Amino acid sequence: MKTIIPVGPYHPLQAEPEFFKLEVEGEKVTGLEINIGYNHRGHEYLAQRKTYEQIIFLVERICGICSCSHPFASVNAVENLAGIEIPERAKYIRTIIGELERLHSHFLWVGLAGHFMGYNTLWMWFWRYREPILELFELITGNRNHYAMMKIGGVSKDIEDEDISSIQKTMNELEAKTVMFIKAILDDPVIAARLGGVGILTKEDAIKYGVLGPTARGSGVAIDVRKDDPYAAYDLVPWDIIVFEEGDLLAKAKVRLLECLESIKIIRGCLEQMRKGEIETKVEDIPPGEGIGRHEAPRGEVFHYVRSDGSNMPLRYKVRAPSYMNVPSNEVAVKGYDIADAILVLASVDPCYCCTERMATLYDGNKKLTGKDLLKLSWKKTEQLKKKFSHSENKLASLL
Amino acid sequence: MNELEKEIQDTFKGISIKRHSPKRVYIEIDKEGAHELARFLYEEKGCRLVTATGTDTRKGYEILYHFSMDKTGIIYSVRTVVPKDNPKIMTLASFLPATNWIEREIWELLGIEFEGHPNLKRLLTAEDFPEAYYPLRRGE
Amino acid sequence: MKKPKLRELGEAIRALIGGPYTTKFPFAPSPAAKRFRGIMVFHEEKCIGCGACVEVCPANARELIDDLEKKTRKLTHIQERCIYCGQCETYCKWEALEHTQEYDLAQLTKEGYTNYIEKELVTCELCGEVITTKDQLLWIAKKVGELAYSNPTLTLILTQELGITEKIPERGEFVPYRSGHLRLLCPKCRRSVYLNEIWGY
Repeated sequence: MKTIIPVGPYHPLQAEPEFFKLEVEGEKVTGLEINIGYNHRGHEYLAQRKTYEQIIFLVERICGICSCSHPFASVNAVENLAGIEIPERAKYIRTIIGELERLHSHFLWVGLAGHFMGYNTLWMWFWRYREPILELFELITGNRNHYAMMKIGGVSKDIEDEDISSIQKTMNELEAKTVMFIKAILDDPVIAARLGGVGILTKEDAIKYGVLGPTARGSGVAIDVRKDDPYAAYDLVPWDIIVFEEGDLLAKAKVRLLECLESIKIIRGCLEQMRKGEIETKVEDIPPGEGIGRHEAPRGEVFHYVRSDGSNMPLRYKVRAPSYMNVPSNEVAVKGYDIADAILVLASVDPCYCCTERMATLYDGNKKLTGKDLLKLSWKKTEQLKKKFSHSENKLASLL
Repeated sequence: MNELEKEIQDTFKGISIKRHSPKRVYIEIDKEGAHELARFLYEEKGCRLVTATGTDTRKGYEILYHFSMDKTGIIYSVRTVVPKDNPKIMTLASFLPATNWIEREIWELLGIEFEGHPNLKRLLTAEDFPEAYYPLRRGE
Repeated sequence: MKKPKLRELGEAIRALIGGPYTTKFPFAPSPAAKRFRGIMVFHEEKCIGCGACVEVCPANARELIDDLEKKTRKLTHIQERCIYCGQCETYCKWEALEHTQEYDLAQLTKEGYTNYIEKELVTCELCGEVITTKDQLLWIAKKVGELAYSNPTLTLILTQELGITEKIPERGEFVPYRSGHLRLLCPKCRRSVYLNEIWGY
């Protein structure tokens, strides 16, 4: 007998609205149908009526957490169209802002994954260590979110000398804490049992669905825009790309955690190599033509296409966010696992639905579970696993 | 011109290749040739489909398929034009599942019909959005 | 699982002793950083009413409204639409707009959400169209120095402001001939007066 469990669209469990219809038989999930469109705001239509500099602020507000990714891709696209070269100090500053954003986004994901599993202390501790990063942003750019740093031809604000010591102090503190958290997470047998072997996305499926970012790098597909098509200062400082082959949730978590350490390495490299100089070049007119710009956001590759006819407003502006390609791959990744694991698998692609899109209605399934019920199911499984491990440990202790 | 571009020039007829900047190449071809070229780039050369863009221009509705060759970092954009009085083109979803949502979006906002698509339904707009109203067309 | 937990024990003790990271706003102050982009204020004496801020705003939060009867130009800022991007502050050459460090927007009445300043307008005596604001003409006059005396509009405004002449008395119907060129005229009307003077009335 088939049961349909609707998850969404207005769920206390989810940060953004999306609608999943899970088809279950017994405890196993056999199918998935996805409905999106709850956040559609018509950015491409609006972008045809704004000037190039106003578009940077329009696309910045597509998403709150990938707030510097869209402006970064946008200025890359316009600079590709017009053939503009930016000064070197601007390249380093753009890279620093991009990597700081990657740090606080990955911390947010690990905290949420901990919450879904029942590890609330992990959640609270990780989110407490996001605060120094947000304070750094307020110090350098003027706001904790929506930094308004990108400008066609460079950056809009400079990093002062007295701020550099704050950045270095925060990086030292975060590196020590990240190493401690990585060891704590990977040592825990319950987390390994919850995440290991669950939600496997094979390499063939990853290539067929065109997934991006840590979702692809956790399945053995080694793509990263920062290495394939370098821009800004990513080819001027040394760093490594992180790839794992297994394709399950533990591999994706490991990719994100180790990428945090690489980000700290890149920021330190940039601060060391930065020299004094100009932060922007003068831009006269945008000629007719077309341009493509991309950036590696924390969730994958962001792609912007712009077409100009010589006036001060573009003819066509196209935005494609990484979650658009990652979310459909859930159809194959969630089949055959328990309902309690379904929440973790749906959250493992780190979906940002604001980047994906907009609005709708509720369906009535045969059996309806609320968000709290699904969370409780997930926590119950963790409790069972904990008992199993401590039970075996007690047995071992009694044997000795 | 690098080897891949020479190979494409030799294999396909009625094609014009333009290199706009070191890592951006634009290839113009007709409707049927676009389907064959997309299959060639994906299956034989291992390129990844990034996305597809639809634009309303004077000549017709222009579709651009963007393919990325990750080994070299070059993006190959395949440009094809469909006439405004008969906007139909063959879908790529038969061999590339990634185009499922991409082609649905172009149909919903621009009105181009993709023949053979398994699921051409609304994706982004609401259920009570007016039928046959395509926001990105210039006349409306 | 006892040994690995020791290293987290240190963190737990630090968290217990240190207390929560959040501040108790509004019962305790929570100051913003020096560069924080907060609520915007006008500096009325520096503004010349050019309208560059209106052109640049991405969110249409600024408006410029000319009132031809009262002869004033009203520049408004609608706080509900503002996105605190800082573009108007960057592009205002006269430094008349500034971000404060205030972030608390809550108010009890709706009127407080729209601020505005008013500037005096100068209109053409022949056709009645707007030339520009008085402050902008004074700025141009001061900037070009002695060349201001080659343009009658600038000369009239400057000498009135400096108090050298009395207010211009009513002179009756306007005749677009030699005596008419020493009046406040828009560029189009000034050209027609000069042409009449050269080619005859």
